[in-house]
Amino acid sequence: MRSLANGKFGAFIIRSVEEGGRTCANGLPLVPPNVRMLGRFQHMKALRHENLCQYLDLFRCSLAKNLVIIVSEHHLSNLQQLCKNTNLTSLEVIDLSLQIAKGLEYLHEQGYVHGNLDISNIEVFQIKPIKIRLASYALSYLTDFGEDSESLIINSPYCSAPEILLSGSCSEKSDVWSFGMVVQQMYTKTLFSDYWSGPQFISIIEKCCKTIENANQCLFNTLQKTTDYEKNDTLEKIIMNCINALPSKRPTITEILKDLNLNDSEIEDFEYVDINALREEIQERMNTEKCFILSEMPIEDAFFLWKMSGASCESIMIRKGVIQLRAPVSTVPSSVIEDFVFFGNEESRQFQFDDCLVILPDDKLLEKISSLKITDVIRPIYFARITDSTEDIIIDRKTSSLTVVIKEKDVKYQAQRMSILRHLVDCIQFDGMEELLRKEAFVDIPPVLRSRVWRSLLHVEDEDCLDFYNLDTLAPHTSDRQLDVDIPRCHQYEDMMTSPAAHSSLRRILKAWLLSNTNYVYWQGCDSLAAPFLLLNFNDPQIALPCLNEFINRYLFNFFLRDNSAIIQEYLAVFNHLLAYVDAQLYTHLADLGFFPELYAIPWFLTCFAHVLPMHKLYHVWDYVLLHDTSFPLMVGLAVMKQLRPRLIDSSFNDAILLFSDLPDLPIDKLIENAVYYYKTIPPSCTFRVHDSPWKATYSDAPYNLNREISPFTVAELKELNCPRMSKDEFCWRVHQQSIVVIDIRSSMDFNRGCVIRSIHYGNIEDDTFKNVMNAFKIAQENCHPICVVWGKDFAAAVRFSGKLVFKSINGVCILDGGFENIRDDRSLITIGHFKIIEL
Amino acid sequence: MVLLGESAVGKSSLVLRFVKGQFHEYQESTIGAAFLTQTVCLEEATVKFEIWDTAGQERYHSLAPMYYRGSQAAIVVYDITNQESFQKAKNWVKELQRQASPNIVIALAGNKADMANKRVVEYEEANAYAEENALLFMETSAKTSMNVNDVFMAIAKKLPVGPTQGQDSQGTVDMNQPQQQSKGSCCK
Repeated sequence: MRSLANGKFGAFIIRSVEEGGRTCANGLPLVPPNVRMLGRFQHMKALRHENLCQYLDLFRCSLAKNLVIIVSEHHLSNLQQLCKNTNLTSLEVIDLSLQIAKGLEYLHEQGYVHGNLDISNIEVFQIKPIKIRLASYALSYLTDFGEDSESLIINSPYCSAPEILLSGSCSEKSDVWSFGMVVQQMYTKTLFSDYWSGPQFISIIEKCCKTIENANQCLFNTLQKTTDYEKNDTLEKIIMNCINALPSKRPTITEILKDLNLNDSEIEDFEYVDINALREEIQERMNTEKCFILSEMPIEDAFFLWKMSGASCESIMIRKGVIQLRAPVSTVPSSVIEDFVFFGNEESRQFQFDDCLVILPDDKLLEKISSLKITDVIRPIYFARITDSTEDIIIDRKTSSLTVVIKEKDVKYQAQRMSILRHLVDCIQFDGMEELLRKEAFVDIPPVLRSRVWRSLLHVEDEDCLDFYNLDTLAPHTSDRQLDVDIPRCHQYEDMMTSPAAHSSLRRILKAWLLSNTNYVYWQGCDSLAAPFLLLNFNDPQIALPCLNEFINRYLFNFFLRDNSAIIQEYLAVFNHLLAYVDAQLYTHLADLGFFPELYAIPWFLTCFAHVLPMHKLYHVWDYVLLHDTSFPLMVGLAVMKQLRPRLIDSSFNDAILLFSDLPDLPIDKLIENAVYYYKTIPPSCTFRVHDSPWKATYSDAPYNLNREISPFTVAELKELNCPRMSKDEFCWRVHQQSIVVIDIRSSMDFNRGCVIRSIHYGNIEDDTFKNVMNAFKIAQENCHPICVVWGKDFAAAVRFSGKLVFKSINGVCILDGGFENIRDDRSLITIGHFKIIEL
Repeated sequence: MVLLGESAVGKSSLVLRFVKGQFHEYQESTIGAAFLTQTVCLEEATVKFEIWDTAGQERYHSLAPMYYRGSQAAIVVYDITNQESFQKAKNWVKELQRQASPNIVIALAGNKADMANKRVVEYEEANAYAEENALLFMETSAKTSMNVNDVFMAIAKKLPVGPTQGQDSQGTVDMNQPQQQSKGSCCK
């Protein structure tokens, strides 16, 4: 993880090709070039090497339509300036060459070409000893070798290989040429730009390259203005090899590295530091450096905070005059046809911009961060463990009570949260850390860490990530056609999801999922389900796949079987029962309308809301799903019903179904709060499903760590009921806890022979007045205690009676699974004539 | 009324164009079914369309009867640039003729007519098939809104006029709500 250190954020602009309402084969508009770049950029963001400046973000401009702004790590001094100001020894030149070559080798290994190497874009980030990083690399990949960009990205002619000057096409071998040119400038102490103008320089290259035989010698001699430098045969040989006019004759960068390494012992780089000295150094820095927190922060985190702390990149560029906007009236085309295809006056509709690198101002961010105490942000986790209180870690209590959307925009709050959670996910293997992570995640999950936190919560280990590579995701598959039509319309309001890079990754993840779960088939909606994992692990499909697998294994177990009717039907039936449990009145109303969950809730549960909620809301819901057992999606469903209740409660069938087809904007905090509340108050055994995931058995959630097993019912049997059932174990537990109201509907004779302690007898179930029990119901509802019906031999009577209670709008009704027979042997529960029988 | 047809032929887009006058290039796929309504005044009566827009994927097929069973009308949609979708449409028509209420009005809509340059299903072929089976037939485009209202209107005109449920006395043609089957399988 690279920290920001003394780095800055540098931004530059590329103009993408104008698109004129073009459409592709399927009639959909062509993906704009800037979106294509956005997708490719995600891959570039993943490039990590000690000698490369890290790419951070790509923004599509909204005012200057086809411009994109690229932000990367930036350092204030570069190699050109360094060469001017210092007299490099040949050992230093070799070391620098080695660093450049290492950066290039990494790029080439990853399948990228630098394409733009120049002595001016090699940035120096440390002086003693000199350390450099390459910048502005792989832009040819970003723009699809110029297909997608209009501005030519050629920095200077001084280091460009002849083939680039001729045709603009670059390869690994043109990087080797550029490398040679850079090394020559360092070695011969001749900065080309000091002596020749661009055209002059090009004509020299042209002249020398015409004599292909010994062009390199010719160039080398022409391009040295002084002979006053330390001779070094190794360097000279390398330069000669590199600046060969024929690309095929140039060595590869790996070969060059070998030559360079021969007379260099890298081992010296290792430094041993005394721990006390280190401690003192850090202490010293903490005391003196104004922005210690920021410079120690991972660079991505720092940029994430930068984005929240002030103006957008585009507005900065416009304010600085880098992007020049024209008055709209001057850009009117002379004619417009069909679907807004413009003709005439094209020139004025091109946004002008300066081709330069802008350092993004970071004073606002500095100001905000430096108002934080170091101890607020960098806290030792073990303290939190010893005190074992969550409150201790939540520093800013005022902020933590705000809605999650606001918290995500708060720079200071995020800085603290990011630091804590990053620390936790980094040491997740250690004992007790997962528990702590869960506690913290319950507060909220910082967006930058969501992928890692989810991964930890889903227990995806490194070895799980190998599976992806064993699957042939490119081979034809029976679901190909369906994927073809579904992927291009999956979550398309998300910029990233519209890019071809996202489409192809999503397809591969889905196919890998199908291949690794041969019992499952592709159902429409699986695409939406995979999308969050793709977006969070854009460059790591090998992580996205096991996450998706585990998520489905837990929360959507067997949902995607070829024949899933038994599973879905049971799920919906249980949902309906729970609705009766929490809101009998609404349940009754909807049942009267014949408005059953089959009509509205299938997309909810089949995709765990991925198909019905926009991505930014879905993230928050899933943050909490992952912290609970398999019943949580049901609770979210109930929370949605609660949100819609005011509009549902006196709606007609049509109004009700319309409401669901056009699901209104749901307040996400309320939704989660209610879902968590339901999760805590609904008796866990009421959520029992025969088809539940085996994972649930491994999940323990005190104090409800009880056997929730209930006698399995068929869907038809479930549909007869109007309320859920409670397991024997939970019933016993609740009776002892006194957190239940027990209504016994057996005959007086049976009741007198033995009954559950503190139970109330209601022998005549045909009596609809509920005179003597109403009060007990009221108390139960006030305390959120379940009302459990105990029955003898006649289950149908229990069903009828509980139905009556529900239709009387009494919440919290459930039936004891197995009835009195099931518990009669538990001596601790039974009493004889203990309570006075209430006769009517 | 119910819309049936292969996935991504434009069922949801047709309904959206008809009900809200909107068109989204990237209309999301429909899971289960969506429900929309639209009221239209004809000369002789007011028609209230209650439209079930169903999922196209074959796997959701088993849900379809739940929606078409109570419907008085159906639009079977295919994509003129996709031969397979036309075949699927024929299967839907067959299924409706066999299983839906005998008086159901069926329309066949060849959608994406704006993409005529990519056409693979000829107008004549579809028209002949429609005549053979006594279907209303139009080629439509949800994108340009060509024939979208027309196809719904054509259906409205073929429906029996009269107060159906007593509630609306001014000659409203009210299409029934879908009838729930208590034991039918939902998601196959």
